[in-house]
Amino acid sequence: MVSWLPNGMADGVMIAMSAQNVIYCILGVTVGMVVGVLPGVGVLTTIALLMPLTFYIDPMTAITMLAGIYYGAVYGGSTAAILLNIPGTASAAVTTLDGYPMAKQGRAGVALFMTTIASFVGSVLGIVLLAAFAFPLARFALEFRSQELFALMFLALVMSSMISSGSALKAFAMVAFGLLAGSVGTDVSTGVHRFTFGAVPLYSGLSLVAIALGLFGLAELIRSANAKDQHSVVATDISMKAMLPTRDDWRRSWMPMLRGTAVGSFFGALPGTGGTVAAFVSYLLERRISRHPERFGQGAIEGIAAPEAANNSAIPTAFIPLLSMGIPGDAILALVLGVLMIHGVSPGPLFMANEPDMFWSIVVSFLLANALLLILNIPLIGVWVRILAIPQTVLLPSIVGLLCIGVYSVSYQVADLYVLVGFGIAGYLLALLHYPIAPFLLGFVLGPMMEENFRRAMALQNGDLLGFFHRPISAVILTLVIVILAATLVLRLRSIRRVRVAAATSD
Amino acid sequence: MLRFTKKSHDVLAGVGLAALGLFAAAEAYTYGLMRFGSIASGLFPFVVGLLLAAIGLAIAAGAILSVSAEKPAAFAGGRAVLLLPASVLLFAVLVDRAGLAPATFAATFTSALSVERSTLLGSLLVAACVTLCCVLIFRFGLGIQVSVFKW
Repeated sequence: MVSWLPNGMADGVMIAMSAQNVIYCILGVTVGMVVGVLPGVGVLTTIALLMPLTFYIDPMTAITMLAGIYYGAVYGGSTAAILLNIPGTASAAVTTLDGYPMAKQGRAGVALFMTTIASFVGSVLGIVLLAAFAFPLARFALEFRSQELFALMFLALVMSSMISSGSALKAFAMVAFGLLAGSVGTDVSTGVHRFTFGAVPLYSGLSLVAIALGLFGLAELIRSANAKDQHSVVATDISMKAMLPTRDDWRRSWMPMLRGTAVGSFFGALPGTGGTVAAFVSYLLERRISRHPERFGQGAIEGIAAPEAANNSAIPTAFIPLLSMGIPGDAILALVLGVLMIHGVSPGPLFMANEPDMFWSIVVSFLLANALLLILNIPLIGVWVRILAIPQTVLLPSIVGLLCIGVYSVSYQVADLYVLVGFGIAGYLLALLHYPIAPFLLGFVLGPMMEENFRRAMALQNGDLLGFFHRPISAVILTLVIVILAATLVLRLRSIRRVRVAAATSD
Repeated sequence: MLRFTKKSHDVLAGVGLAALGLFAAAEAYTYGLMRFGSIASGLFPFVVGLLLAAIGLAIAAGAILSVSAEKPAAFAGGRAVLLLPASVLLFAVLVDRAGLAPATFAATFTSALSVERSTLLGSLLVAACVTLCCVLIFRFGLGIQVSVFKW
């Protein structure tokens, strides 16, 4: 093999570009877009719905397909955001701010085109960062012991609770609930059955697929089944001529794209934050530095280019901590991690050192997925518009069929279907009560890993809890966690008091 | 239609979570917290359970103390709330006994009915088509090990 290339790169490229992988990537991108474009179906739901499809193929191909599904879902979300004014995904919510006004001005085609370009630019730059930083970080992380891993996971849980919309307290409750759900089953270090209450199917723990599909699939279906507001697709001129941005559009878009990429790469790599935060921050940044901030919200093309680039560059950079340290930054990556582990792949410094070819094949399949979307998305916009018009009466039963068979076929356990129903109802109720669901999933996936690392660390420290502060990196991270928690508590108490004082004086 | 005020459902949910946390902590306690000087199976869930109980009580207390306007929260979703979980349960009951096709048909038909605009004939038709597609994709396309019909 060519010796000047990084170790395993040539092999990885060969694997990713094999005919079989390319076909599955095309398949992944297509189904990802088809499902992702559906109103109310987010990236997480799309991946949850489609991940059973990857269980029948070998891990390498499955990862390629998963990458395709992930990117397809993100692109699909943006398309729905522009054409319908309802974001298919949370991070596409920002795109609706200027995308929908553009659609109403008859410039939906331009908006979709620029979204595709900005997403592509953001993704490719993010992938370059992933390729550049994953190995150095993994070498650094080889020094990590259980203390550091525990501290990092703790940070990811706290950060993801802080940024979820609404009450941080409710998010913390969901994290704790998720951690508890993660401890159901046989304790790997002692063999004790926890929270199984004698039910044999629970010995192996709750099924990730069933939980994810319950919380994000079934719950979402119940809520959207009879949603009052029926959205209508904006009539769109989708001829190629109407879609091409003007010279002025290009001139105003390229700098925001680059700034968006920078913002997105930063927030993507940070544990706990991700595409949604990146998109919001980059939108606010563009409005702040614009000479005409009043144009934002009225169909400013910068308001699409920047957040779309940010959102998409956050995806590959979020894989930097996931692949090099084994730590998922948000719920979507927690799900991806779960799927990887089902396929027998456990990311981390050892994975990077021992299986560089697999790493490179992931990088290349990201590139492949983006290139495919660039080619497929624009000519197929007419098809996506038609998918948006599929009536509920056909859509809903199809998704239910997919849900049932998908969950059941993972391990042919009827019990998994009961878990699906239970978490479907729980997810529906929790969403009604404004509890964020994503922190639950992160807690569920991280729980067993945190417990194991905590135990190992405590054994190494001879049971001394303060041992976590004797190692510099874990001490810094844990101090950060404590500062964040304390600051939240103080701010919360202060806001309660202020509201009460205000209420008392107004009476 | 069920209606709760925002305040009362926050209190209710907080207390519910606290109860869940306490129950988990009590159950975890029976697994043992420490064993021969090292951490046993119960410690982690015990601590997390107590944490959940504390957070739940804080949510409930915050809701009682807060003076926010009490917005009623409506339970959206209509009959789908019952029919969609029921459709999955039907699938669960039928798939081992009757096979993939009857189970999928029952589930998709029931879920089709949960859309308020649906008609009986339309739902039957949709369910039949979806069942056919699912069987073709999963049984013959992906090759899952479930018999299509069992008698």
